[in-house]
Amino acid sequence: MAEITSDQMRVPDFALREHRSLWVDAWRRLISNRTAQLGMVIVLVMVLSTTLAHFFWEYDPKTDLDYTLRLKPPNLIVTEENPSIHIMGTDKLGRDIFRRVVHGGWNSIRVGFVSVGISLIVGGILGLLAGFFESVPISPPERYLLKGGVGLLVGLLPAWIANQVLLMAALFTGLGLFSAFADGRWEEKSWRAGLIILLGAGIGLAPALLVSPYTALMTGFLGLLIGVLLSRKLGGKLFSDVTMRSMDIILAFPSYLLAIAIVAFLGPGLEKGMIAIGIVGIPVFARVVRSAVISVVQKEYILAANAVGEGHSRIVFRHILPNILSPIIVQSTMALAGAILSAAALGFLGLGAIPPEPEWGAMLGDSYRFLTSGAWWAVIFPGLAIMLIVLGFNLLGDGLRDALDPKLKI
Amino acid sequence: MIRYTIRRLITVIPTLIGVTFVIFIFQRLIPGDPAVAMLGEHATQENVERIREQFGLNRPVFLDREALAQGDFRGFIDTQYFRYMGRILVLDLGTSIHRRIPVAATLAERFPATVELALLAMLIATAIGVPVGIISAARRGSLLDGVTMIGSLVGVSMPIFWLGLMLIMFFGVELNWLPIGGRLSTGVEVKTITKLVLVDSLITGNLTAFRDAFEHIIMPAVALATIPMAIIARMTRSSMLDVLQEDYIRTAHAKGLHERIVLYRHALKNAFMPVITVIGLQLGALLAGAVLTETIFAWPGIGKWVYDSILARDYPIVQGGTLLIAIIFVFFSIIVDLSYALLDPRIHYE
Amino acid sequence: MNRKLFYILGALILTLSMVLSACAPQPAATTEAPPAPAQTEAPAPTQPQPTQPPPPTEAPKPTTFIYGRGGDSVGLDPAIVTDGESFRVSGQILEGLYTFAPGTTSPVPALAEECTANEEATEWTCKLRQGVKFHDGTDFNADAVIFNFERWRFTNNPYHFPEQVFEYYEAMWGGFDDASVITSVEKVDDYTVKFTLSSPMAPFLANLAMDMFAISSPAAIEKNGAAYGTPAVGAVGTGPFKFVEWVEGDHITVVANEDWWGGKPSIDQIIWRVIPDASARFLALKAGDIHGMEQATPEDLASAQADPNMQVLFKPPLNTVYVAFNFKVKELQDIKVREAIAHAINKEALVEAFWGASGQVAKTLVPPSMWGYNDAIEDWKYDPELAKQLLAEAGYPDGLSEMTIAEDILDADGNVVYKAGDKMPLRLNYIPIDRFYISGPKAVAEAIAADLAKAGIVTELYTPGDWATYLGERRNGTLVGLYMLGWGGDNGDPDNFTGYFFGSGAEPIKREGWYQNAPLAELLQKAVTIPSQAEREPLYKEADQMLHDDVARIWLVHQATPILLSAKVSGYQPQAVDADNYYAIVINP
Repeated sequence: MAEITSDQMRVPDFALREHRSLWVDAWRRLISNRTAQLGMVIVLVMVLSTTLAHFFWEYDPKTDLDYTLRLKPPNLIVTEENPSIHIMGTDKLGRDIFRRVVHGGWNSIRVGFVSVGISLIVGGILGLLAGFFESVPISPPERYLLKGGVGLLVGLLPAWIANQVLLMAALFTGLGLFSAFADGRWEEKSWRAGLIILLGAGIGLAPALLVSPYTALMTGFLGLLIGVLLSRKLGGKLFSDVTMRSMDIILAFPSYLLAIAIVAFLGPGLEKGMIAIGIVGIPVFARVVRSAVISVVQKEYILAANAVGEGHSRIVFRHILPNILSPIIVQSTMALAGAILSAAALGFLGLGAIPPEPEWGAMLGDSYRFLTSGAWWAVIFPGLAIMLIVLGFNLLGDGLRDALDPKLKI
Repeated sequence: MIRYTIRRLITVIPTLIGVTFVIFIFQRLIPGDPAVAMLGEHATQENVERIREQFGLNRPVFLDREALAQGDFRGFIDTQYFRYMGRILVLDLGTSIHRRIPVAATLAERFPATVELALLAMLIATAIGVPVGIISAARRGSLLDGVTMIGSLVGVSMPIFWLGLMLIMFFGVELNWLPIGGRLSTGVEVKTITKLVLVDSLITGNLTAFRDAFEHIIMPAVALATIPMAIIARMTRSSMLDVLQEDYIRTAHAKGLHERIVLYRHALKNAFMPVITVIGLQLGALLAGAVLTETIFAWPGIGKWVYDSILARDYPIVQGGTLLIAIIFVFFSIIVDLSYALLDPRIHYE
Repeated sequence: MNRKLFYILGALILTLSMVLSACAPQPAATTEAPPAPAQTEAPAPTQPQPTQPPPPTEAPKPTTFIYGRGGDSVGLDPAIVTDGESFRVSGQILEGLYTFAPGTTSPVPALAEECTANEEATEWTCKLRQGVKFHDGTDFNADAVIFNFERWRFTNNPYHFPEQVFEYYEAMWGGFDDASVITSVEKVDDYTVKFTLSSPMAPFLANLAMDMFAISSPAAIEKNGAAYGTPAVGAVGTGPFKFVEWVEGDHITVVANEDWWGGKPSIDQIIWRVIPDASARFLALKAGDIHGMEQATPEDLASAQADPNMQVLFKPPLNTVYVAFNFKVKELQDIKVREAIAHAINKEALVEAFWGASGQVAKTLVPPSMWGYNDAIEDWKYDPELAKQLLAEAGYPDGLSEMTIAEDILDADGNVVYKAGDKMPLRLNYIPIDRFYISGPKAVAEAIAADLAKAGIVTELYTPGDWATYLGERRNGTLVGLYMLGWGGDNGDPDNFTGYFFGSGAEPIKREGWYQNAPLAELLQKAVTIPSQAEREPLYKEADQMLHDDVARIWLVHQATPILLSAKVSGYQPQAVDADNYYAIVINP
């Protein structure tokens, strides 16, 4: 019988065909959904107005200061007392709040998109790989990658102790690669494990002898342990376990404390805030994507594709990704809402945008101390803006979920 | 079941070790110095050096490779991290750098305030969220359903610190009905038994104090309850809707059972599991303290305390407080897992 | 199992909803705030003078003065703490050998009857007040004074606990052990001690009067060890009030010491309550929950001044808020540029807007409430046009928005943070948190930046991190560009201002933005060794003139901390240095 290549025996692409009609279907369901309609309108109006304002309504916060207009209540008509119109009043520096709310949206909404992008990309990739390799055995090239990576990561510890970072890290990476090679070549041979363990101990010991015999003792021992680790057949399960356990660790921190700590490290500023909120959001995406992948990967068409030897990347991109898009889209929309709220909280604590750039959370944080002296307008309007955009994303997410995946909950 | 519990508890250990590790990484990464944070404009170089030495901050963070090279194996791990881990093993959280009092003592003082607030907030959230969810599910598509669902979305969309400010402005300032901060009015004394002021005042029959404590706690509790309430209501509703489509419910209807009995005796019971999950996870999150709510209402809980300690670089407090929070959070997720098995005989853990 | 749990939960929900409906705030019941005990009680007639005989006590219930403050005390042993909130309380419980005359910076005797110096001012002999007892009943005498000074000074003293840091002893007396300026404290007789100094020290008495050097009961320290000063133990001194209790994060209570040598205080009890948020504090004062508070927003301050039920007292300002220059920035090395910046900031309007009635525009480093203040200096006028012109003369006709690093700037570990020749936007560094001399520094910075921008100096607001980071960078001289900061005096001596900042300026001072001024440093080093105040005064005036001429910094404001009190309160004495005096407080009905 002639060899059958994967090209000849194409797996009928149910997923692909199904998902096309699914998107059309979903779109129809979405636009006929009342909550989604409302959400879309709110989001569109707010995003459009802030974007247009950012590009076409000139505002220079750097020179915006007028002591004569300090903390003026909203006024809609020009009077003797209030020579200019401020529909949302003015703040402590006499700046028009309406203007700052509209311009502040550009910053606040941007934080949402960028940080969710960070969480989505990093968390999504981790979750995808974790979910995939939990169920699908790894292929030889992937084994090289995995074992080389493990060798490098674990090897960094003795490398640092012996103060020979470059040399020893490279050697341990090499050991990892070699053990991957050995796994494939001498699978049955019992001396394979012994050789790798010995090599590990040697790599740990030898370079450290330059530093001191005690150091060499310690790194030699660590090298031995690394050898033991690498001599085993590491599979995708290891990757998945380590990744998800790391996610658990991040999740065990209250998200606000973690974000604050990250900003304290990076320094304040909008970009730093984006990174902090993005990192905090990674585990959620990793979990959602992983469980979505696991639910898909056991399906017959994936098993079939794997059985005929389709490449892993092809399986992931052609079969898995399209089928897990809906939970990802829903989760992203919801996460957008959450990220904007977190950004507002950071801004409120003074860790947001660098002044005088307007940003909603910071506007609240700067003004709330004037609440007792009756300046309610400086607090209400930025807060309303936050609530509206977040509500918009939540409504949209709700509608999207109903449309894309009626089975999902919450 | 017991074996599963033990296994879950063991898997917690690496997570917690990871947590302590991450805390230490941040301690190294975040610039700034406890002495400088403490002495402000007046700090001198000598001050800084001495405090570093006193609290072992001049030691390497994780491992001392120079000591190892000298053959000093003890010195190799006589570092900030391993000293801290060693102290944890003997249940010593250390002493605050700024206040020179044991971290554990302050935790014992502050944590009950957080617990009290979290429990009351959760009670409010459950007491309102569950019935609302049930009614919405029972009358799916009605105006009431629509209103409560939109309402719950508005609830999760509000920055709670902003809601707190609005509450203060309205009930505290405009109407002057409620005190705007703190846990008790000055001069009101409650005998300490459980450290939960509401409970203590009830036990001792001190109704004036109970009322005072209640007036203080109600605004922060409502603010904090908003988000869990909305989530619980939505969860209850969707879970009820699922159950209501099951065959046995149809059978119950067909038998001619009263609507209310079907709803409460048959449907609710089975719809409750996911709700319990949400309640458990939300409570775990609330117990971690809420830095902004605590700030706005001057509530003496742990969230604000840990936040302030990050700013003050008071490492022992940051370490102790964060560890406690992480432990609570992790254990609540285990309890939620286990409650599945307890509540649903179909689920068995190996 | 299943059903049971459900019923329990149901029952819980039911009870809760009942409790909720029962306790829902009913307006009629709750509008009357829970009365603070005895605050409405008629106080006994009292005299505000401490030396008067104790007033007759007829009131059945004690009168209580409740003070709202932003943060808790750190500890009550004043020797090992550094924060004002601690001294505020410890200053009522403990006393030093000297104190400051009410409202001034002149030291007057307290536990000492008088201290006299020998001719070289290297030996001070202090006669102690006799018959004074600590709150624990032990005697105050020479041994107690020596015990305290030796505990502070010697790092091997058994009560110089290793976990305690005696920051102020080191700062004010030159160091510990052999580095200490006080080389010995000897007992002449039971009520006389002799201090020997290694060199003449002009502010000796002012230092003795500082809250940090108040005398604790040796017996209490021996008994409690390192726990002395913590919430569980409190402090034991000779002062007008005795420690009662400290509930952490909530309140501290003290009661009048009937046997105080100055006479029984006119108020029976004082409670300091922690209310972190400034506006919440103000509302509590309005509602009558507290009788006094500090740190109000300018808006609240204005409304308090207009409110007939309130009064406002001011602590004489002993602080200065400033904008400093980093002299490793090429553009800022040019005096014309600095002068342009000085002319561009509208100080009057800034102070009016952000400090209101509590602010006083500053033109010198030494505040006007201190001796050594130079009123003859003429401040830079607000004149944006002149600023532009000066900029043009300095070679920036199109304005200034960029800065160039003139030399490498290293951090504490010796790594180069900014390289010579680096160009970046001109920064204005702002303080990230509220300090006792400024509230809402971010908005202040925004206003300064807007003023500068109008004169063509475009700055980028920047803060390197939180407060600890900010101070760390300042110490390392890595706050590049302009930076805001403030300083509050310790002992009311001008050396503690000008001398602290510029006394070592023969070399560029890292901590002070690399400012270098050798003649000024020489002048200041001379001034600190002269014992006579009259001879020192012109030197400090000259120092401020030199700083002005060099545009070394832009002094913004001296903040006179406002104390908001209920109109019922009388007898509260704000102090310039040290804790305010509470012993003469009377609460009128």
